[in-house]
Parts: sequence; structure tokens; C-alpha cells
Amino acid sequence: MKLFRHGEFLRFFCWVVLGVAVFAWGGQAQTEKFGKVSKAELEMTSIPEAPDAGAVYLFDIGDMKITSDFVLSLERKVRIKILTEEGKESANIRIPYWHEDKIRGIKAHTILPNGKKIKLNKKESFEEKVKNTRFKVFTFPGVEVGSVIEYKYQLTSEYLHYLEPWYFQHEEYTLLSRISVMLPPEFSYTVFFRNVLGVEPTVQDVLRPGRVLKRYSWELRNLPPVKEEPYMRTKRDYLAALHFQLVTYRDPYNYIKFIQDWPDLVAKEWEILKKPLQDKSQKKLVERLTATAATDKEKVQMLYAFVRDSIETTGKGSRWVDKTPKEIMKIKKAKGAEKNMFLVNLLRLAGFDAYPLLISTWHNGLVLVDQPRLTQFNYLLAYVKIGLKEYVFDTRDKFCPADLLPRTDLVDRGLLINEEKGKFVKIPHPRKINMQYCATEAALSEDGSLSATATLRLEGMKAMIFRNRIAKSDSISVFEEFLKNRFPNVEIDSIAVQNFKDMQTPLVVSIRYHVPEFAQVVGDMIYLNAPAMDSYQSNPFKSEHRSFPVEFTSNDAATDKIDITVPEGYHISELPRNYVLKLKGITFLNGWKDQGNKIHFERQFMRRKLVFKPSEYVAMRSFFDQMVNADQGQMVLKQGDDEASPRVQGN
Amino acid sequence: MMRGIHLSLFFFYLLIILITTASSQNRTLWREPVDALVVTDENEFEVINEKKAVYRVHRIIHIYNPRGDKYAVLAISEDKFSTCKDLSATIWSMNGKELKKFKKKDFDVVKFSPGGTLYIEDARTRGADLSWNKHPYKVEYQYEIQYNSLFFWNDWLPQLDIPVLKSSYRLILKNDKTKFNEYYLGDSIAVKESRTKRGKEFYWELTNLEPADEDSWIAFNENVGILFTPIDFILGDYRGRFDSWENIARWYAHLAKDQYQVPPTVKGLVEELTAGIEDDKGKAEALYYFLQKYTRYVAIYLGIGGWQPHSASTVYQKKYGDCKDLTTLMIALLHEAGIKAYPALTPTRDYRLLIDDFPSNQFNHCITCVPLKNDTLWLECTADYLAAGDLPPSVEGAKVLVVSDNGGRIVQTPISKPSENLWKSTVQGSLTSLGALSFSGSILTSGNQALWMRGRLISLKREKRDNWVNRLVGKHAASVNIQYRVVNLDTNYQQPLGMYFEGIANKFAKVSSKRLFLVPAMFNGFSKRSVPDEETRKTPLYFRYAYTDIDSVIIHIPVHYSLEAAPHPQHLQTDFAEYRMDYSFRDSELTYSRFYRLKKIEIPPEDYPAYRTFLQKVSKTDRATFVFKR
Repeated sequence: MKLFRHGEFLRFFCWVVLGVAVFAWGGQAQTEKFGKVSKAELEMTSIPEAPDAGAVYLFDIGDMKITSDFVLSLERKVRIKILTEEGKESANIRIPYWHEDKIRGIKAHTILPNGKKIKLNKKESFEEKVKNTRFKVFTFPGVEVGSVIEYKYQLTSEYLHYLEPWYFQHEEYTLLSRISVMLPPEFSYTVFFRNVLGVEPTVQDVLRPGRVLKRYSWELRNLPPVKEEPYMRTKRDYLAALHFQLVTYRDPYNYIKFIQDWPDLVAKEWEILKKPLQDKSQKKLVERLTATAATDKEKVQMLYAFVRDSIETTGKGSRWVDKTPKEIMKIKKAKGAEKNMFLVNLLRLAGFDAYPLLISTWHNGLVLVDQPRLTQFNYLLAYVKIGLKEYVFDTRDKFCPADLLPRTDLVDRGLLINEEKGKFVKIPHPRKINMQYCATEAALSEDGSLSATATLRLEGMKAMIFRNRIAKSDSISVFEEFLKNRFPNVEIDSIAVQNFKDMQTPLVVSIRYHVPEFAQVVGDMIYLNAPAMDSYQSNPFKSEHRSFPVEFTSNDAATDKIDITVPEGYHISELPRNYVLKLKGITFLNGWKDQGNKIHFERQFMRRKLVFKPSEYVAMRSFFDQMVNADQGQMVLKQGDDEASPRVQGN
Repeated sequence: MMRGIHLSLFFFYLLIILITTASSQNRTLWREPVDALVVTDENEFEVINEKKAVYRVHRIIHIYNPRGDKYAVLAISEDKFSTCKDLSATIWSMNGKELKKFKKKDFDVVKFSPGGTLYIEDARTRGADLSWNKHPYKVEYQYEIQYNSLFFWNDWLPQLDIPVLKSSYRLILKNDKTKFNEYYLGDSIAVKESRTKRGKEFYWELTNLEPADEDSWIAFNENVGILFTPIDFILGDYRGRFDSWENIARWYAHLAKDQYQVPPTVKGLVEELTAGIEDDKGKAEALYYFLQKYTRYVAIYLGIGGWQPHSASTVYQKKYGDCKDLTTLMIALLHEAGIKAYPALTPTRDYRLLIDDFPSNQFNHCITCVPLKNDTLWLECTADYLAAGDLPPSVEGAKVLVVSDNGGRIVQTPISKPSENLWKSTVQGSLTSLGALSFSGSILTSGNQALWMRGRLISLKREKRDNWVNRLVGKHAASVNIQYRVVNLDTNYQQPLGMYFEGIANKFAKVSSKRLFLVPAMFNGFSKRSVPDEETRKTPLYFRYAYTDIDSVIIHIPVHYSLEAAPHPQHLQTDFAEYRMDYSFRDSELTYSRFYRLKKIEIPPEDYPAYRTFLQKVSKTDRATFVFKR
């Protein structure tokens, strides 16, 4: 019996790749029998709840049990109806599993609309592997529109502690999904639901030699697929799911406590994580690095900068740490989580109260505090307390100053792992505004081309993002691309970047550029919009309706101040109207001033709010509509007097 | 004493200069800064016998900055016919200090065949990231792959997108009688022949190779190096002779000859499907449409399965297969109907262009050739939504090897005419003084334009499809509310695909206190981005297909507005494309028309500047705003 293992990868693949399925229950038990498909299922051509569905999961049934030799067994049966040509994609199956687990007894067949059955040949089931994950891969033979496909398999694992979550929903409509669990009476367990109001299990007595076991079943019916929407943290946060967890095992001779609550989990995790923290090999290094520090805060920052800069990041990593401090110092390479653990080690050697802090990164989904499961976490940060103040660090980003965290770390809370009971710590979101400020001096020519000098100041997260881009490429390419997004035919005369290395200061970029044909010249008229660096060409929110919240990782702000000199002999005929738009947590304003031979333009956008509920969506979309309109406002310049007849543009 | 100090300083500065020069040479072994460069690239292919060969590689790469790290990633493919026997790597500092050593066991083995459509093969990849955290550094690796067939004779393609200081290819024939052909890409390369105790040796070497050109939209053929093919080989249980296209065709015919059998019930099915159809073309079309609906694309390559098709009987029963499997079933169905048909092997155009004077395995795809009395019908059996006889852009105009009864021959598939790939849109609408456009209209497409649009409409599920249509129709608007219906989506592929729509586009025109600004090129206007950055090219510019766009828009403008400004009507005529834009404004009605025809799918480098200028003019006109003043 094994208690722990690495790997969250599998869980992810379970809902993404495998999809899932269905089942009938109780009085309809006969229709759930593998291979026994009802006439109604064969004759089904669509379902009213999802008339466009390419396929529908008729059922997905999981039957989980712990066997007498302490092996976890999951028997799964899936039945899918193929409704369209596109729905045939559902006949390609890839089942992921942990490399130490086993999948046996794969059986699959296609049942044609006329009832004929075509079985999957054993030789047509293949195995693939990526690191520690294995995949059983097969495709159903003979599939045509109207077919019903069915497969089943048994997954066995010695890791009793880690039970796969059950996702009730799939990428297609699901008529029925059920998970059953049967345990020897020696085990106790607990169940957590997500996006489902408490569903009471059906309890069934199962006779076994010498005793009666109980089977608990949870089922849901008529489940629509959850759609991926833009600005959504992760679809998984919104899937109906059940997490099942063993708590204890007790027989006359043994008492094994699995997991009960967060303190239990913290204690177990601390047993694992404390080992690298006991390594004292870097004591001298710490003394040397902090020798010149005047304050504790300075010491911490020096150690942070050392780990961030001197150890190459080879990837993000998970919440697992494989390398010891000694190994890391030898090869000077480690994953993000390992670097952070190394920083914890150095901080402790320097005498600080430092600990690992587990988080679930942005795309991994929200942590449910009422569900004590370590599998919710997928990353590890460094935590330190100086006096009463708590600090959190992530050393994986070379350009992340000590007072910032990479965007994917900006989640609600993390779990502190220490020798006591641990605790949830609020992740400090940076107070700084991620400002993009741009001052532009521009001159327009009679032929419509624009020559400009812009000073761009990037702060906070934006500076971090651009520093990373520059490091991967070079400043010219990065800002050329940046400008081309705004002015596709821009020609850049010069770019100078200041403060690239000094992460405590904004990144400042001076750019001289010109844009041929920036304005439309027609006879003695010139039409142009403002050459603002931050400008919306179209509304990023296309859908009319929204089912789930719009979620942003961080705040956003941009200010443009522009002076445009009009060509000699021209005067300003018309300026667009000024806008002031306000919504809770988001503001936009722009303004135009006629200054004789110059036009002064200012634009400000600021969004402090991170989450907009579906009920706020229509107003937010309308806000962006108006902002697009404001950004597309046209100035009109004119040479000579007004005329009534149309002007025609030259070649 | 002073003189002594001056001399010391002189030598000190000299030393500094020498060190600086040496280190800068180290950094830039190339004449200009590069992210990485290959110092040594030694390739050796040793033919042991007709069933066994060994390929050995030794490479040293200098990596100068993080952008160069990608060249420190090594991945080696293996399968049933090839096994990596020896593999090691070392990371060195620039001054020769060993930083890290890798043995074979340090390399991960990945066996995963991703893809939306299931694609399974027995290949696996052995790989490792050999990058280091401090730049610059050197990576050195060597490996050996054993092949159990000469079919996999390695080509020598030494040019990369980074400079290569020296690359060599040594061919060792243990047996003089081993025959092979080589093909020089671009210029011929001098060969040194010798006899050693290992056998007969051929040696080619190139130095100071420039990075390959980075023009966009180019054909994928390399232009430096040597392609090799064995004359005689054995693959699995099959012998092959690759000295002519006829023999290559014979080899494939031999692989496939027993695969055309179908169950007896198929005869009845074919009769049923072709009942009442008199001509072979009509019968072939009926059978093709049956195959489209009946089968789906799934690729399973195991062992020789990458080259030998599954039997038609199996494909018929499983209802899936890859290109050659589906072709085999198609041919079998046609045979049952008494129609001759042949497989045609081809490289798809996005893979490479066939070199027809070098008979060898250059293929990655298979289509069906049906010779009829007056014409040849080509059938692409992997396409689910294509008219019989139409070819997708990936194989149109491609050179194919038709595997016929008497061997084989290279022929070129037809190239569709610009008028066959037609987009025709008409829109009628009414603009409000707030810039909202109420409109109705249609888009009719045919040929490759219909294929593209069908692909989008069918593959996207409802809401995404609605959003896509909204973006297509309302790209100039802040938001669009639209109703639409589509005809001939998954049927009647010979007929135009039609989309009929009506709706409201909010803020379609930009509004100021006195003016309305309107861009009537609703669908096909070229943006500034459509004009490529590069002013000249060394290689031809390739398009997937020639096409024609015809758009007409009639918009009623609020009565109190008059036309203040508009772009000049255009008619640009060149050898490679034609563009017309015209408009009129009468009785508050703007009538706008746009015609664009791309006539050729290849623009040679010498015509490229003219093409670019042409495109600039088109883009400027398409982007131009019509201004109406109150």
C-alpha cells in the first residue's frame, strides 16, 4: 500500500483528453449492461437540450473499490452516441494513467444503427508514454453517424491515498454520470463536491463472504458541456466534480490515519519538505552573500536576488522538490519550485523564519479551503516573516523584482508548510499599478505621414514582461513588434532602452519613428485618429452573453499624452468628442484640445477590478464598445475654406 | 626605469588587446553576431549489407546567448527499423572545462502522437535539453543509429538557420556492389573517393555555410546538400529497386497488390450506389461521396504500415484509415464498378516539391487517380467536404507518381483557375447617423474558397461559429447582431457554398459631430499588414491557390449627409493580379464594388517588388475611408 505519489498531470488529462461518460442506474440497470444498447439509443438522432451536439455521453459510470489486498480499483464504463460527422472525433480515445498504475481489460465496441456490433481488436489498443504518464490509445472501428460506442476498463493502483477526482461533465453533453465507491468497513472516507450542491449518495448493501459492504453512489444527469471562454482562469474551476478522500483505516491490528484536515496534511508535507531544509552546506555562502547587508530586509533581498540571478530556471516545476541545495549549487540549474525551496534553505541559514508556501497557480484553479487536499496545489513559493511582516517570493523569473510575483502566482492564498499546523497565507498582490505611460511629440506632414518621438515608461508587471521579452530577443525587435501592433507600417528611426537591468525602476524606452500614410489625405482634407500607444481597434469581448466570470490576473493602466503639430497651412476643422466612461473598477477618459497649430490629446485607461461577474458582463462589454469608438475618433484638418463637393483621393 | 614601465605597460596593453581579440573571435566565430553556430557537423553513413546500415553523427555547437539554447536540444527518432545504439553528450565551457556529461540513460524517451485526429505510430523520440545556464558554452554530442533497411539512407542537409563552419558526410560501403544514387541540391559538391580497410569511402565536405534564407511563403525544398537513395533495398519482407520511377511504382504496387480485396457484400453495395448512373465519371463520383461519409481519417503506422496500406477489406470494416488506406478502399470500390483507378504518391506542397529527375522516396501522401475517356478524375480521399475531382491546395499542381499497371509515371495534378476559387458577396444596408448599419446580404464561395469556409463553419461549434461569422461580417463594427443560414454546407459540394445573413452592425461607421467615416470593404480589404515587410526576395513567393474576390455593397446614407471625401476609383492590371474598386454616390446611396483576382500562385523574385508596390496600392485603397459630412 503506497500513500503518496507525484503528478498532477494525470488529473488534468482526465477531463481534457479522456472526456468521460455515462450510465443508467437503479430501475434502468439492464440498459447499463455493457453491449446492451436500447432501441431508443440506437434510433436517437439528436437531443433537444443540445441540438447541435456532435456526440452525447449517454452515460459515464465509475465503480471504485478497495480490494482485500489493498489495491484501489476503478472500473469505468462509457457509452457515447455519435450524432454527426464531427462527432466521430469522440471515437478517438486516449486514457491517461500514472506509470505505476495498471490499466487492464480494455473492451470496446461499436454498435451500428442496425444493431451490428464491431469489436475492438486487442492489437488495436496502443500504449504511449510521456515521462511518468502513460496513455492507452485506441479508436473505435466501423463508426458511422448513428453508432453507439462503448468502452470499459479497469484501472488499479496501489496508491490508496490518491484517488482520482470524478468530473461529471465533458466536452459534449452528458445525460448521466455516476461514481460509486465500495469500501471495506475498515476504511472511512470523506467526499468533496465542486460546482454541485450537496448530492446525497444512494446506499446499497453488497454481500461479500462473511460480511456486508456498502456501496455509495453519486449521480448527476443532463449536464451541459462547460465552454472555454476568453479571460477565464480555467474551465476546471467550473466543472461539476466530486473529490473522494480516504481518512482512516482501522482493523484489530492496525490503525492508519490518511488525511483528516489541513494540519494533518501540513504535518505530512513538512516531513517531506523539511529534509532539504536541514542541509547546512550553504552556510558559508549565506554569510558571504549577506556580509554587507545593513538590515534584515536587505539580507532577504540579497539572498532572493542571488537565487533568482545565479541559478538558471529550467522550468516552473511543481510542488515537488528533487534537488538538494548542494546539487543546485553544483549545477546552477533548477526548476522554479526547487529554486524557491533553495531560497527557503538559505533564508533559514541566515536565521529567518522561512517556509515553503504551496499555491495553486492561476490556470490550475482556485483552492477550496474547505476541502483539505494537497492535490489542489501545483507550485511552491518561498515565504519569510520579518518581524510582523510576511513576504512571499518566487525566484523563477529573472526580471521579477523582490516586491512582485509573476502573474500566474497572483492567486488568492497559499498554504504555509511548517512544523506546526501550517496556515493559509494571503498572497500579497502588488500595490503598484501596472502602468504604461507614453508621452508623444508628433508632427503630421501634408502627405499624411506622421513623425513622432515617444517616451514610453513601463511599470510593475508590464516592465517585467517587456524585460523578459527583450532578454529572449532584443530591444529593437521587441519594440518594433510592439509598435507594429499599433502602426503596422511603422518605420523606426531609433530605439533606446533605459533601466533594463535596474528592476526597481520603470523600464523607459525612447522611440523615434514615422508612419507613412498614417492619415488619409483627400484633396485639402486630412483625416486621422490619435497615435496613442494604448488603443483598442476592436472589442475583445465578442460574445453577447457570458456564462462565467471574466477574470484578470492583475490590474491594468495606460496613459497617453500626445501633442501633434498640424501641417503648415492647415487648420483644425473638427475634433472628436471627449469621453468619460466609468464602471465599477474601470475608468476611461480622453480629451482633445485645439491649440492652434497643435492638437493636444490625453487618454487614460485604468482597470483595478480583477473579476467581473456574468451579471456585470453586458455593461462591461458595452464599456469596451464605447472605448473602441472613442479610440477610433477621427480628427479632421482642412486647408482653405470649406467646400460642399466631394474630394477624391489621388493615386 | 620609466622606459621599463612604459615597455611593461605596452606589453600589458598588447596582452589585453590580444585577449580581447581572441575572446571576441570566440564569441563571434562568425563574421557577425549570431545566437549559435555549428562548429563541427560530422555525418557518417556506413552500409554493412543490404539489410543493415549505421548512421553516426558527431556535432559541436557553440551557444552564445539564451536565444541559441534551442540548438542545444537533441531529439533522436527511433522505430521498428531504427535503433539508437550509442548516445552521449557533453556540455563544455568555452575554455574546455567539462560542465556536464550525459549518457544514453539520461535521455528521456517519449512515445506520444498528438493531434486532433488520431495518429498512432510505433516511433519514439529520445531527447534531452543540453543547454547550460551561463553563456557562452559548447555542446558536443555523438550518436549512432542502426537501421535494418537501406530504405532509410540518410540525406545530407547541412544548412541550418545558424551558420555551420564545417559539415561533412562520409559514406562507407563495405561491399563495392552496393549501388546508390545521389542528388545534389543546388551546386555540385566535390567528392573524395578512397579505399580503406572499412571499404569504399566517399567524402563530402562544406565549410562556412551561411544560414538558410528566411523569406516567408517559400517552398520547403532545401538548396544545399545531397539526397541519397539506395538502388536496392529490403524493407520488412519486401524488396525494392529505386533506380527509376517505374520501379518505385512497381515496389508500391507490390506492397499494395493483395490489399484491394473487399468482402463479397461490397459488390452489391457498389451496384446499389451506382444504379442508374451511366458514365464512369458519375459512378466514380457517387462512390467517392459514399467513401467520404463512410470513413474517417485515422493513421496507424506500425512497422511497414507507414508504407504498406491496410487491406481494403479492413478499411471497409473499420471505416477508418490514413491516405493510402482510404485510397486503397476507393480503388477497390472503383474496381468493383469496373472502373480502373490507381494510387498516386505525392509530396504535399507544404512538405516539398517533387524532384522529378531523382527517383526516390520523396512522398508523404497518396491520392487516387481515375483515368477516364476524356479526362482524369483526381480524388482526395482524406477530405470529408470536397467535390469529387477537386483537389485541396496541398496537392493541386503537385507532381505525383501514378502507380499504374505497367509501372508508373510522374504527372502533374491540375491547378485550379482563379475563377474557380470564387468569393462573391453582396450587401445592402442602411446607415444611421449614429453609425449603425442594418444590413442583409450573402456570400457565395466555390472551389478552395468554399473549402476554407466549410472547414471553419463545420469545425467550430455553435457559439464559436457564431462569433467567427460575427467577426467575418462585422470586422469594422464594434459589435454585431446577426442571423445567418448556410446552404450546401455538408452536401452538394459542386454547388457554391452560400451564407445568407441579416443583422445590425453597431458603430459600423465612426461618428463625429459633423461627419460619418465609413470603410465599405467589409470582407476582403487588405490591411497594412498584408504588405510584406521584405522589399526584395531571393526565392519565389508561393500562394496556396489563385482566386477571385468580388464584393459589392450598397449602403443608404442618412439623407442630410453628403460625400465629403472618398478614395479614387482604381483599376490595376498586372500579370500576376488584377484589382478594381469603383463607387458611386447618388440619392444618398453609396454603391461600392471591389474586384480582386490573384492570377498566379508563384511570383518569381524579379517580379516581387512590382507585386509589393501593387499590394501597397490595393491596401491603401481598401483601407481608405469614405467621409460623409452633414
